[in-house]
Amino acid sequence: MNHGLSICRSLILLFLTSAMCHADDTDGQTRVINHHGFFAFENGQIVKGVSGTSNEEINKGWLDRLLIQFTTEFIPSERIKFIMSVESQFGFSYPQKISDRSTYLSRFWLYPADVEALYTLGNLQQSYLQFGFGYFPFKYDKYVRNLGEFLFRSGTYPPYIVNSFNMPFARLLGFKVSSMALGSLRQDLLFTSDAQIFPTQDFSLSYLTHYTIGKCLELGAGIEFAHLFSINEQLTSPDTFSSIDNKHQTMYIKENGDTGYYTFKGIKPMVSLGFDLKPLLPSAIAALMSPNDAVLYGEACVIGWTNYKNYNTDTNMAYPDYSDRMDRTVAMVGANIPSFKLFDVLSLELEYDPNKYPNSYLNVIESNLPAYLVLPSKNLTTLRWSIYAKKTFLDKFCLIGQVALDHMRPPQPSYIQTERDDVLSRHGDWWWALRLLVNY
Amino acid sequence: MFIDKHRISGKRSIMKQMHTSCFALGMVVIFFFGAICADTTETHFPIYMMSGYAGLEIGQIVNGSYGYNNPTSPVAITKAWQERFLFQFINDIAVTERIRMVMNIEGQISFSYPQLLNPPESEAPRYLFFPQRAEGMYTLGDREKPYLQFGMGLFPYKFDPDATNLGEFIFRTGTYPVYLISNFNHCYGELLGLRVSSTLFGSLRQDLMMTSETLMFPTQDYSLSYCVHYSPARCLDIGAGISFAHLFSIEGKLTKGTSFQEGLYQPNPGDTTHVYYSFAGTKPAFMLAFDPKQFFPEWGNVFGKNDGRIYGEICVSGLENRKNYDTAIPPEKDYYNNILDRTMAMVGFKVPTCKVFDDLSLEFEYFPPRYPDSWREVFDENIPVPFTQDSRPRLPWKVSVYAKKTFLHNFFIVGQVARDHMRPTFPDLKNMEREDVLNGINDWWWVVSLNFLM
Repeated sequence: MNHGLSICRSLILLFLTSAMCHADDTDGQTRVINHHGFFAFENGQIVKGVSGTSNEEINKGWLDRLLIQFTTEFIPSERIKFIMSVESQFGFSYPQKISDRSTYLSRFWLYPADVEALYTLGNLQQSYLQFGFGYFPFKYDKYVRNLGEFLFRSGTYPPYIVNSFNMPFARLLGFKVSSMALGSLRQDLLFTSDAQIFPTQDFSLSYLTHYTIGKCLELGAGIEFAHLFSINEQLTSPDTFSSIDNKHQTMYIKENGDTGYYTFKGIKPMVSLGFDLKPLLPSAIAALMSPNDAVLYGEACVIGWTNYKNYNTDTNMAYPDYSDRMDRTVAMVGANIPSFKLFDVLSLELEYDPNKYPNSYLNVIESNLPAYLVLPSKNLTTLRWSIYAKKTFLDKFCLIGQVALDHMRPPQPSYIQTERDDVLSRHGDWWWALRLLVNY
Repeated sequence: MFIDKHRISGKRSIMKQMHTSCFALGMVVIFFFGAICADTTETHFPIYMMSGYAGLEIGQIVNGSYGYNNPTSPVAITKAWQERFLFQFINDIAVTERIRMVMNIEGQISFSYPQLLNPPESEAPRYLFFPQRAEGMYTLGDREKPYLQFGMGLFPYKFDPDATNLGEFIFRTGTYPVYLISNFNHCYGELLGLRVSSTLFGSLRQDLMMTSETLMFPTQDYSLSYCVHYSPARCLDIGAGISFAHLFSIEGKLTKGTSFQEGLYQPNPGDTTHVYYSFAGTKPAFMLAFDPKQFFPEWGNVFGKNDGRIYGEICVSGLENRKNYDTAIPPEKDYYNNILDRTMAMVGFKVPTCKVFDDLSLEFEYFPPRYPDSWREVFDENIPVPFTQDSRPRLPWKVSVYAKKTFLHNFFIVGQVARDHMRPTFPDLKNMEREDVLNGINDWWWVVSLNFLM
């Protein structure tokens, strides 16, 4: 009996010891920490452009910056994931002016790149429901490398488009619910607060869906109700004006003679399409290609669905002109050119933007008005282009190059000095950029 | 909390239990298993523990008023949206058994109120990063309750463990003049300097701190503080503290506003000599917490840990009266003649929720409103006198309801409804709000934050 008792006691001790040795696992939780990030050095040149703010010509304006990103992923349980990622930049201003010596100084920024919590229900790879909140990057068109991704990289009203080299996504602050219930159908519902450009903090509601048909075709659609919930109606939909200059940028005359007021609120519908040609090619040829090769894709977005036709007969008061939806409809097409594994990706993208006004948020920031400050210009190009190439080598290294006439805005030392207009706005303007990146 | 590289196991005690019965099978099994776990039975330093949290806060000043740059004509605030996103990286490193370092970096995306064309930066979201805690500690004795611990760096200090919003006066008030600070979900003092702590007999804790002023002018001055907490019974916690604020001035003329006529008073009735008011002052504080549920141990499982606690604090933010005897100076400028003008109190109650909430606190603060709760003269004029040009009526009472609920282990929601000392954020010191925006009977704000904890 004593032997049996002692054996039992030993076994209990064994059990306890075992439990303590694996204490981190016994609560049913998987505790994993992943660290990763990148370090990148970037150089570029605005070969030809013009400053929208100062109207000065730009010739061979040099740009360089250093980027570092630290990312930590915490996975406390199977269904919960936390991401905390901080990015820093060391960069320089362009142009550097003697009238503002702060532009001579190098600058160091630190900002969150991705701080979010995710909770997954169902299959972990293709969850039928995933909840998330925080400040997170969001990309709905996986093929876009530079132009496009209009839904969250545009503002309205007035319509303007933003983009940034090697950042074909938007960073959003708020909540998201995602579903991949049927495997090939992905849906995202987002409730996000504007954290970029005035009027900030307003909440927007967005819904996106993507459906994959076979191995070739991917269709997408989305809609954003921008500034749907205003935190201050007077800021989002101003109905008073401080000067006569601001009057025509605030109000318009409706067909029945009533006065209407412009608003930053707007509806942005979007459709996208991706077509992968590889499954249609002979398998021997397809095998020679990299996964990104031979894809055609495109996107169209109306940056402000509602027309505001101004029936004011005074020609000086007849702008901004939001009477034609087509003026606010932008489209892009892209092709991943087969490079047969010479590059990870080599893409050519074209964007068509028929907007008669400069792509600018000058008046948004400087007057807080949902209207353009300037008259339409005939010198603006409607067609933009971008060539993007990426090559990974030695497993961790990556070289990324881009030549483009896009929506780049050079960096400035403070918010007030930030370039509000595209510097590449005319036919013949372009810039190039090259990034050497190391992942860890 | 995550242990990144190495783990403390400490299973030796289990082995010690084996001496009672040494039967071969058990021994073999234990020995065999012990060998398997050999790597984890010893503590390997350094031990890195990484954690953090992030939270999205939204709120609204339902009613209030702000003085901004013209406090004589305050503007009403109605339904002003408040929003910020906070995240914190926490690195806790046990360098050796006795040396520990904690480094917390906090980041924020925040928005200004009001948003104005001038300064235009008020319209832009702001990305802030700052150290929330950076502290090195050396411990003697038990690591949990050391009889002596030395600390240095930037560290949070909580005088009243129960306070959730109001209170914590000793390190969240300024003197002279008196002003109070509160910040949602940051109910502690943030101190820079040196600390010596001691825990004796398990229930007597003492802290001696030499800290440098980091928040308000005159910065860098050193203050000496001593706090003691004692639990004579499980149902009772008492505490006392004293802070000699700005005791060691780094530049005397800054600590005494010697450049300004406004800062002069006559301290003696028979002597016409005038001296300057000084930012230096003594702040005694007392706290008490009573936990009646300790009398009902059979209900222990029904209540949450904090349920039913009654707590309170009292503090004199400037013990010395500085009465003016110069009859040429009007009585309303005899700023510091009554100690009660500088005495504030807080009482709180942890409402029993039977584990529905982690914490549901109701707090009241009483502070007689002879002068506005303002640091305007401190900031704008650098003189230790109160701001008197603000005519807003002020209630002596502040109130706060605070609730916290943890769910799914790693998430928690915090909500608060309060008339407290909140000041909306602004991008630069020049334009930052200097006065409380919640003063009247109808003034209040609410805030909710959804957080995840790692």
